[in-house]
Amino acid sequence: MTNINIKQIFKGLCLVGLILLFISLFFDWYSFSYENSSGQIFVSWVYNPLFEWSSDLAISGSNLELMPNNLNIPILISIIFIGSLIFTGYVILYKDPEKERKLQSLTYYAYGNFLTLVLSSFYIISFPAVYLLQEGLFYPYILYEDYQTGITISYLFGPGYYIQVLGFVLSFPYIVFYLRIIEKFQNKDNDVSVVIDKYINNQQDNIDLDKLIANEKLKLKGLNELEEVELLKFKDVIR
Amino acid sequence: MTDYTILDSKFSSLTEACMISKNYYKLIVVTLILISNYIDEIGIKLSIRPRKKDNENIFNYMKLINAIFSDNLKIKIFEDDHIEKIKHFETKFHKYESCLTPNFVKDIINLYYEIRKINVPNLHEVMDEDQNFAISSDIRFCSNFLLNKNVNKRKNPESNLKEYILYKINEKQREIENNLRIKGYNKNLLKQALYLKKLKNTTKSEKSGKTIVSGPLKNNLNYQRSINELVGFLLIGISSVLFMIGSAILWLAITFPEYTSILSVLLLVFFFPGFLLVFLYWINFKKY
Repeated sequence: MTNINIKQIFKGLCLVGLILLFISLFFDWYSFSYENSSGQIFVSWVYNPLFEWSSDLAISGSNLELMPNNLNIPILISIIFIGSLIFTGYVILYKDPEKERKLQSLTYYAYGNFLTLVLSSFYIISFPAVYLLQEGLFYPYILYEDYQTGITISYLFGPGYYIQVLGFVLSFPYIVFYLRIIEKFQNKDNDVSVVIDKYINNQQDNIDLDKLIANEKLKLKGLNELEEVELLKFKDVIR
Repeated sequence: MTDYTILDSKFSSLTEACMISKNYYKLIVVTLILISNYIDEIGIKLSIRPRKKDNENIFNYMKLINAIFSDNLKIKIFEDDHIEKIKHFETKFHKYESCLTPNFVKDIINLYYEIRKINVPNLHEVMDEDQNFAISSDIRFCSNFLLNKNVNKRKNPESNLKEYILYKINEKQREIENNLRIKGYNKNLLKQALYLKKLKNTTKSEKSGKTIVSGPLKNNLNYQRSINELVGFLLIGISSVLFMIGSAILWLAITFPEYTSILSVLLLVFFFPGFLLVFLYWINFKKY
């Protein structure tokens, strides 16, 4: 497998990862439920970082009593996270370091991409360790059986959390690679040779040989022409 | 950049047409313009200021270029003979209409093509790998040797190394200057001399530590090797996630010690593969 193929594969995986990170916000990240001895679930709550707690059951009785407090993950972080995902997607698609003439110009893009990873890490680590734990909610998968009452309590991460983790894993390699390339390499100032060529062209006198040849050939055919007037202006250039 | 093949073809057509029509004036003016343009290009490529077309003749500009290179590298870019001929053509053409003869035209065109033989390096042009290696191989060998040999890198060998590299650069420069003096103007030797001058400047100045890439990034060998790091980063990504979740579980175990026995298995499930992946990365990818 060539290096270019490897790069394309990881680029594709990164884009898939970004999509997964985005859609994970709309799935349930956590759930906990109470089940009685006859197998009936009488308390059930699921958590989503955008919409907080919700339940399939009627919000009354035991379900209402045991409703957990809102975790209050700042919505601003979610908004910034969504923004950074869109930004990273744009950078991955349209700011390829191989096609860029000046790598240094991609520095801020690389750090912007890294912000996506940082925010994703924030969700992965602080969601359980800070927000869930403060409400006494366990993870990643705990089944607690109370033999006296016959109630089984289950605490577990929802699909949204696992999708977030998967998205992080898929997008991590290419984002870090992008940053590494920007940090490691620097273009030799190739733009200088283009500038020099332009400068040389600007300093030189422009001379339209095609026109001169055409006029001379017309002259040979006996037609009048006014090009000596044009040529006179060059006489002052060559002193 | 001027395509000289096309230019020569067109100039040849114009010469033919003008000789038939006996329009020598046009041909002389065009040739002088082409000479002027070529001298301008030489000057700019050698980082000399452009010719002041209001009050500076072509031959004076050529003398200036020669003076600068004579002072710095002890070489002449233009032959004295060429400068004298240009002076003759420039002054005589403006003064005497009687110089508009076929012989005059022939002489000036010959002079143009004589000057066209002078091929100077563009100061911003990249040295090709072979020449680069030939010049600096012993400098590079010394720097590699010293860096590998020095056990305690914290004793700051950089200042000693720099001095040594500068000494070798000066030695090489003197050698090239001698060759230029003995053998006369040579494009490759001049290129090497200018490259060494640049190398000297960059050795003296502080560097950002980045790898300089000339040309497309994808053609760079170091970049090609860096692409393999992607697989390593995947290992690091997976291990990062395992460590993050493992740390959250560890924190849970610290907060609720009564569940430690249950959670210990999970800690092993997350931390052990994490360390294993880091180890695999270190073995296989750290060399990049």
